[in-house]
Amino acid sequence: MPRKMPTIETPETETREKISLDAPWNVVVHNDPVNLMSYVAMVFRRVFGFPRERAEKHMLEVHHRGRSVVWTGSREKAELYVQQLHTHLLLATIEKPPPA
Amino acid sequence: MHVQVFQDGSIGLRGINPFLFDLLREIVRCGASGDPRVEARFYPPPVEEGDLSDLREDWKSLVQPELQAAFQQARDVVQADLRNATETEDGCAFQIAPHHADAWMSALNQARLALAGENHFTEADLSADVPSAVGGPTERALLQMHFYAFLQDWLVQMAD
Repeated sequence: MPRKMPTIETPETETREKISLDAPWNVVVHNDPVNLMSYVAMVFRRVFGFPRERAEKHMLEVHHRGRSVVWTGSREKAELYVQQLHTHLLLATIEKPPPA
Repeated sequence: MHVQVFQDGSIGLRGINPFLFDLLREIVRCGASGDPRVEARFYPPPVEEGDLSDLREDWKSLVQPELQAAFQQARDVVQADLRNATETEDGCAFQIAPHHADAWMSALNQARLALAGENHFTEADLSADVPSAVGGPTERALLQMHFYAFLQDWLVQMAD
């Protein structure tokens, strides 16, 4: 019985690594004193397809708290969203969410 | 200055006095500023300090040229629209076609970010009242910021 233990441990390690690689990334928008609030909300609606209320909620979060996580998902898609936000001259970054 | 929206969605601006028309012409120059502070603001890294240096480098070589081209394209549209301006008795007049509105919003945003960067404007400066008189370059730049903000906000409302 103890001799079978190592064969069980190996797949468990592989599973943990896969979860780590596929971990979601956040798209964060940072506050900027120059960008107009109406413009930022419009960009959120255009880039993410947010309804008006959700776009304004994130815009206000950026304004009051200095940052807002506007999207979470795969790294590839997160990078594409950041590029779109930079095209609209918004300050945006990708980041790994802190471990739960 | 009078603003009119035509049936096809074009925006007509007329009765623009020479001072305001000069400010409009400066949109393109402001956005093309080579000031390193402005460049840093136009092309921010995609990650916070210290994270993913490989992505930072890729971003600089792959994404930054695309952004540069997009910003230049927007300024070219604005310049062409202003070149088509006509002079009338009550000032200059020109039109912004509906499909040029995004280029105007981008160019105005570029100009505002550039002016803020070059003049070190803070949130308090930008929240203050519009200067009632232009006493020097700083007041002029602040007035310019407010004028561009008015136009940009107006275009955003129109796009909604």
